[in-house]
Amino acid sequence: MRLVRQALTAPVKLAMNVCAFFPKVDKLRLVELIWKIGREPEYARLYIGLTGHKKGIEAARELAEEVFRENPSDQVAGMMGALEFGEYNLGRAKNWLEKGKQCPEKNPESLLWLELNLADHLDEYDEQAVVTKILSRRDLSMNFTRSALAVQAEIFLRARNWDAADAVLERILRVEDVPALRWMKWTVAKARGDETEAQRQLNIASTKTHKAIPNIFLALGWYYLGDIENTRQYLAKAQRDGITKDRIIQINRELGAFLESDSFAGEKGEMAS
Amino acid sequence: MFFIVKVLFLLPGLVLGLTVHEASHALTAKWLGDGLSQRMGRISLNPLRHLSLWGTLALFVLGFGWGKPVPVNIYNFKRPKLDYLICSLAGPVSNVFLCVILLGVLYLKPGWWVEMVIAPMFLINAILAVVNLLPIPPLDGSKIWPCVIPGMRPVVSGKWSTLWVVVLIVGLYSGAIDKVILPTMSKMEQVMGSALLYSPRPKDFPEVLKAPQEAYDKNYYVNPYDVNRSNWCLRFRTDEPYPAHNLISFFEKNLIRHQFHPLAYQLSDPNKLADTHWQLEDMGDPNLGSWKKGWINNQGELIVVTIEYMPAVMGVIYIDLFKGIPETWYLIEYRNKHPEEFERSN
Repeated sequence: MRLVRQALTAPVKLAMNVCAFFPKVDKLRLVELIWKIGREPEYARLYIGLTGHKKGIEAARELAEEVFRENPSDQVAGMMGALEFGEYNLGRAKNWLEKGKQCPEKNPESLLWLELNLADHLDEYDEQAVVTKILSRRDLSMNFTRSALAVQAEIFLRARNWDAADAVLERILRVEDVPALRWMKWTVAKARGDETEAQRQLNIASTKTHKAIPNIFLALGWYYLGDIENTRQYLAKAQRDGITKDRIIQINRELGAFLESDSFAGEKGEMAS
Repeated sequence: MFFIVKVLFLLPGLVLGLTVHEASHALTAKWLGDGLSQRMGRISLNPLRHLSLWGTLALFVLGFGWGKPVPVNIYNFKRPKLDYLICSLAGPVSNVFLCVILLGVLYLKPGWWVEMVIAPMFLINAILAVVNLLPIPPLDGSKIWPCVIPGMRPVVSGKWSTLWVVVLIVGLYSGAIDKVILPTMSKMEQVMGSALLYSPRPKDFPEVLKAPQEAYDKNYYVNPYDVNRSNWCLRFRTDEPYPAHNLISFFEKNLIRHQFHPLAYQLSDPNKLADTHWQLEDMGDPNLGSWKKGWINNQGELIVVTIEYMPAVMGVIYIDLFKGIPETWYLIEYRNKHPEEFERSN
């Protein structure tokens, strides 16, 4: 029966493949149709993701609850959790993660992403354990390993273990250039007192990322280096460039906490006056 | 019709080549420590796991196709650049390996029909090996060269991959890629020819049957198998219909100039049939399938030229020279019996 259903979806999948060449065509209807005929969790995930993108988080929530009630799937939970995390609804995202973990059938990749992101923001998850879990897997796609390595490097930076952080960063940068990681290389270079290398890393980051991005990451770098004054300055610059407080909290909760602290508010007051 | 037959002949070689190519990437990745391709079910000789929807459709629409790329996690490799290089090379190397096996089968002289299946498989696998070395994403060459060039990282930005596909298609249709492929293919055909097709031209063969220069320029070969059956035969590639036309025209003009007269013939006793049932000199369409034509001179030398070929694959021109008419043949000097029809048909 399942095979028959999936076979029936083939023409719609073909149509969706054709639509991939036309970005303006609304694919939501097609995905909905594929899901309703084939009942494949992968398409439920896609259906919820597209609904969230097109109709908003409320519509996605309603749909996810309905789909999950009938077909509990960790893929559905992972997608809805990611949408909630995108809105920084950590509680709801965590609920979806826990619901996903209860599902009988497991897609190895569907919940790891959410778990890695939540571990960065909620104390109840052990960030290092999640990173180790991902890095010990030899069958995940590159995105997971790259993200886990980046988080691992940040854990080392937080612990001021510059050499270990540098080794992890080099492991990534030997394979591919990720401009968003240059700030960590910059932090390591600064910690070692290598100004030339720090400037080189900054130049690369500046040319390849949005102008506001280096400021927020430099603020984070200064924060890990323990330089509160520079942290304040770069946070203020990032905010002037349009990075919102919510976004800063989402990028790094420690920086978010610093932003809400009295010391930052005091400095802002001084700057305003 | 010609195009569809061509594609159907290429399909087995392409399916075999792509399946082995992609499975080799997957298996090598696994050997080198990356289990992603195994989890995705790509270490398999089931073609359905490797054929992509668009790559297969493109075969029928554009005349070439591709498989689903094997996902690889380079971070799982101990020596990322070297291991990714090995993994990327595994696909083209597997096609070369298949070529060697297929060539070995051809050396065993399996017979004409098996050759007809094996020969395109050999050529398709050679094409897959060579084309994949071009440094254009998503081809393997785009992954191989960054691993070889010092200072480059194995993974380059993928945001231009769609543009590169367009470049690849333009390159294929503008003939730019042909400049790389055709000389290679010519060499491959020579390799295949040396295994299969070469035999010396019989010494006492009439000068009138000397092949045109074009035959040598375009790598036509003499087939040793058919020496018993025919005095001489030429093989030719049938990518395009015109080489057959040109050769027929060449032979015809040459033979008539040397006082050979066109014949009608058939394999059964013409005395048992009405004249109207006799086959005329053209049998079949030279663009599709087989075709025969006969000529005879005043000394009783009979020459029959037979063309048999599979569109898009390879064809053979058999040139039979008989001293006198074979017993099993009932040859009629057509011109003498039906002068008006002869004039009309010429």
